[in-house]
Amino acid sequence: MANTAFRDRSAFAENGPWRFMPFRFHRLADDRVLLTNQGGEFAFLDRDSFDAFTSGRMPAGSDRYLDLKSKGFLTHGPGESEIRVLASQFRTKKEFIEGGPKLHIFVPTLRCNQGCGYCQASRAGIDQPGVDMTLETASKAIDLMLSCPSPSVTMEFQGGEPLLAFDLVRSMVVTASGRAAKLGKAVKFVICTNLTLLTDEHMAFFKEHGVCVSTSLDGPASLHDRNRPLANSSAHDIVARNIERCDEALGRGNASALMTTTVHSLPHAKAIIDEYVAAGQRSIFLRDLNPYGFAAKTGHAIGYDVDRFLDFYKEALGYIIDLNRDGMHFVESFTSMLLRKILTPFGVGFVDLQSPTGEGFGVVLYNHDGSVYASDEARMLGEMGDPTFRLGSVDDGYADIFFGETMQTIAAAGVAESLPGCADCAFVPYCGADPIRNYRTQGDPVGHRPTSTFCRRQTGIFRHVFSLLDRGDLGLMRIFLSWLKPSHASLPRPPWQL
Amino acid sequence: MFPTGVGIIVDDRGHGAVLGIDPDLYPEDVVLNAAYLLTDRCHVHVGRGDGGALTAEIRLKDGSGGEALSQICGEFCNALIDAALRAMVTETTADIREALLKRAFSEMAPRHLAG
Repeated sequence: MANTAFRDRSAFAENGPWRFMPFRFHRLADDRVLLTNQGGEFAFLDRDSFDAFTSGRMPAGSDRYLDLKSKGFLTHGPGESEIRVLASQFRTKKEFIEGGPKLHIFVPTLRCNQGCGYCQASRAGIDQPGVDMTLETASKAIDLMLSCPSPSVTMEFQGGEPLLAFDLVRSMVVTASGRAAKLGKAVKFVICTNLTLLTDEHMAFFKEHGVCVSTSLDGPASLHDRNRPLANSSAHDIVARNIERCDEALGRGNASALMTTTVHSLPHAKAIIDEYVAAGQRSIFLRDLNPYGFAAKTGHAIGYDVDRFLDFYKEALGYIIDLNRDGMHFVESFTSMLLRKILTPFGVGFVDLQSPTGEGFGVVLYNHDGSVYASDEARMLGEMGDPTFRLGSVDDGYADIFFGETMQTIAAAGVAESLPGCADCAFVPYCGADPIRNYRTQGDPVGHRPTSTFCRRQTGIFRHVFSLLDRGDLGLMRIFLSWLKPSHASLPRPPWQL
Repeated sequence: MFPTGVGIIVDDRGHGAVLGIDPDLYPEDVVLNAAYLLTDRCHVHVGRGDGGALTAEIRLKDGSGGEALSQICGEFCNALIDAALRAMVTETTADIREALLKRAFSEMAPRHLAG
């Protein structure tokens, strides 16, 4: 008796030609080719397989065919199911734009007690008048922050050194908490401090209000003190001791550290990581110099070209992977954000990796004088005398700031998928647009990719990370996946992640 | 006269090369995309020659010729192939790309509005 419940297997055979789904490609070393698509899926092919694929000669039903089909690189038929999956992935990756800016940076003062050569913030002297935010300005800025649609925002204090204006910071935290509670919103607090002025009073307040601490640790004492000099004492010794105090008082993981790479850092990749391990940190962010503020003036003395930074990054990442192979859980934060974009459907809240750009869409900054900027970098430009990316002031309305002419300029150059040189790039599903950096370094917000140091750095890092993934090293994949585990994700987020 | 496909003529001083490109093989947008990738190291002038053929005049910014110029011309020819492939994929998948974006954004809208 014929089986009428199920059609014969042959009814599902894929006869006839298959067709491409949208994809991008990049030629890696050793004749390997990386394919990516809008959903963030990726595949590696050798050159012969790539030629067979692109010329339509790949046999339907072959292993490679099935792999590429499962990842949405080709379809046999109208492609409806593949479109459904890719659309869902694409939507998830772009979900960060919902709800408006989530990271709100406040500059309570420009005053600072350190004289770092790479300072991006155009600091002021410790006693300089007229560079502290007033209570009235702070109050208006808090109202603006809470008028954003997002039910949850991060309020981050930068400087200068915000502990020099601790009374103001304390008032702002209390005010924001009270107003947010009435609106049913949640506010996370982060203070970016050099920790050299930390007192028990500060820590008690941080503990009471759940304020996370972000500080700078550039490496061993000789390097840290060279990069971040403090009059009459070693900044390193104070910071190392105060990270310990924070860990004890606030709980391990509530004080995170950032490093900035100068030319003096380049020979010391391993020593820097060892320093972080010794300080009880579970991650490090290998951060290069920004072309803003004092860093722009001192770049000739402490800067380096992109290739030297990439060598430093590769050496450091290799060492970190070795530590993980030996059983330690220690994360390189930038790589982990890339992996989150590459290996999961989710996006990240880091400006360099957002398209549409995070500037103004994900981040907004309220300066001490009441100016509102699209990002910390926009503020740095403003402090350098260029207000191009000043969105308005705390006296302006929400719509004037976030839908004004300046935001439209940023938006027009802020979608990587539509920029020359980015539109065809295989890394664009994981990368971001940075119109303000383009403007600063190249003179216009769209930028010129072939000469962009930002593009060169991003591309160099992407090539390296994808080459590591292409090795098929299961031990390495286990390490990379462990960097994405919920247990890690649930740790307090450092300020660069929304 | 250039041969079919891509032909290269090096100038008398050896510091520049002119590539004649068959627009049936490599249309204007493909040539421009390939040229863009070289603009960090080269000055590239794209124009039209006799009979509608496209031309790309390439000069290295550092003024070098010889092997370096030959190398960059080869790189440009390879970039043309990749750019043509990208254009082909873009053209043949335009309907799918449009459907994908429509679907992604139409599903996003209600949630966004509800928020």
